[in-house]
Amino acid sequence: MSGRERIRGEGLSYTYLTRTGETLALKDLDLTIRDGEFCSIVGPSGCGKSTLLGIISGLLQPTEGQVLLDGVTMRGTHERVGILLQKDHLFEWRTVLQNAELGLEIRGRSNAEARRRAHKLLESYGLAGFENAYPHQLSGGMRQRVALIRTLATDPDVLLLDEPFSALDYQTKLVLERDVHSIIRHDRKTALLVTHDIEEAVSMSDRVIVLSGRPAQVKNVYEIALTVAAERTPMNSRDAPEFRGYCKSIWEDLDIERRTL
Amino acid sequence: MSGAPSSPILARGAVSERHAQFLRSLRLRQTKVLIVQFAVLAAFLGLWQLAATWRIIDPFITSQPSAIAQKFLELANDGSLGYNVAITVFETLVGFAVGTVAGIAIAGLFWWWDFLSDVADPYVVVLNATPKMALGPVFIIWLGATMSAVIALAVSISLFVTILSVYSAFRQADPEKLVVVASFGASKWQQFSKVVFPSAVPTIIATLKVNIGLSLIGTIVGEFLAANAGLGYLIIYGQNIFNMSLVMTSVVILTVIAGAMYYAVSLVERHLVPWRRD
Repeated sequence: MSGRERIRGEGLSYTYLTRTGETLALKDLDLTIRDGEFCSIVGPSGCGKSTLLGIISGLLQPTEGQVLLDGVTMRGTHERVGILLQKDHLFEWRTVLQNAELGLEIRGRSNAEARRRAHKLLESYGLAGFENAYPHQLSGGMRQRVALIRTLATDPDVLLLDEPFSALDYQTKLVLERDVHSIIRHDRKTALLVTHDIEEAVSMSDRVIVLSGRPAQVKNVYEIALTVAAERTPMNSRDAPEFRGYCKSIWEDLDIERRTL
Repeated sequence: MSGAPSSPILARGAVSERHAQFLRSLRLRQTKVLIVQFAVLAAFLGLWQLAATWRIIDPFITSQPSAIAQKFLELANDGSLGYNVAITVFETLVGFAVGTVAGIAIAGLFWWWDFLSDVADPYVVVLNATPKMALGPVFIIWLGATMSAVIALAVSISLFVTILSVYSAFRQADPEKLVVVASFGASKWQQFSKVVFPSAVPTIIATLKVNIGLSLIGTIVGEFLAANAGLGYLIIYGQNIFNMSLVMTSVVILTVIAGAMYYAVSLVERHLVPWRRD
């Protein structure tokens, strides 16, 4: 993995200000995401992972530091960066197809070409025939798939995933992990996944960044090299001989037992 | 299986014989409810009529169904029914439309500019709590004993409650949905039109249902105070000349109008909120 640098965060700090005081969520954090890489960030809960993702997406402005996308400082959100959240947040008043087209509509690109794209994506992810259904008629897995398509329809190069699998049941989660992984590999997208699930991080990623507790700083970085028989899918990765070792090291880094006791 | 004629065509929408039976029992219950509802009305009218005929109650004070029906025909024939109904309906609809549209627009302005909302908050709350009927004389002095005064009263009664409830619905729009549209680079107007307003549609419909009733109240009270036409005027006129049948007929017509308007809003709801499961 020696792609060129895609995203660089330099000296990122973030402070939440409230009436009762201020909370330092991130402190002087540096990170780099390479082009075409699948990178995960794990950290103890409440360490500021989601804040970091918010900053990289441009939804939050860092208190200090800056984010560079292909060497250019980001100001606000960027068309080439898509984000997938923990819950699907589908709009219950829109049909599946209308939900899938939301991003295109907002970007002002909802032409016939874009509609066809959204249609095709729905078809290729098992939602053919559901275009005119309303979200409440879908299962949790299908809903999250529509949310994924909503993000993919705008064709971003970089995908930011904020624990998008954590609200799903185990089976659905594995299937969706597989799908997201293959889309990202197949379309040569760059992905940054924030998760608290160590196995998910190791099975999907080329690299795992472990953050310390609040204020978050980079504690350790793992280049994940797994020996898999066939293609490297999240499912196959779980059977690799090195898999457990990575999980164990990351678990130790997180120091969860000492924290919770 | 009973010996009933087992036709190959099942009842409407049925997928099996058992399902057909289930649907039949549902429809039977619905029919029963309807029959009893009519029976209650018929019994009420019948008893009223008989009690008046047998002088158990004084029809001069209570009127009676036959006199009301007669009065109704009389009013219908000399054209004053249509005229007065039209006046009341017109005033109510204008008051309703202005109060609702202005209320939603002001709520939108408050959402857009929350500083304004913070400043206006105590004023709106106090104005909402003020009994608007007390403003009737004010409007009459300002606008004269005209239709405008009646409409102003109808507007004032629905405006503030609309502002408060719709603004609160705007604010309750899911912040995560706003994050979704923000991630696509949505402008403030797009946040409003794609998330905030659609989220508030169910509340707005509920507000419409309340407002149609409130506007009718405002209109009738306005007509009591300052009109020479409309159902409110007929009621007051009937009271002044102690014609109980005129009062009762007007009240009955008013009830029908109120029901019809409420039903119309419900139809709009079904049209505007198709994603609601039933």
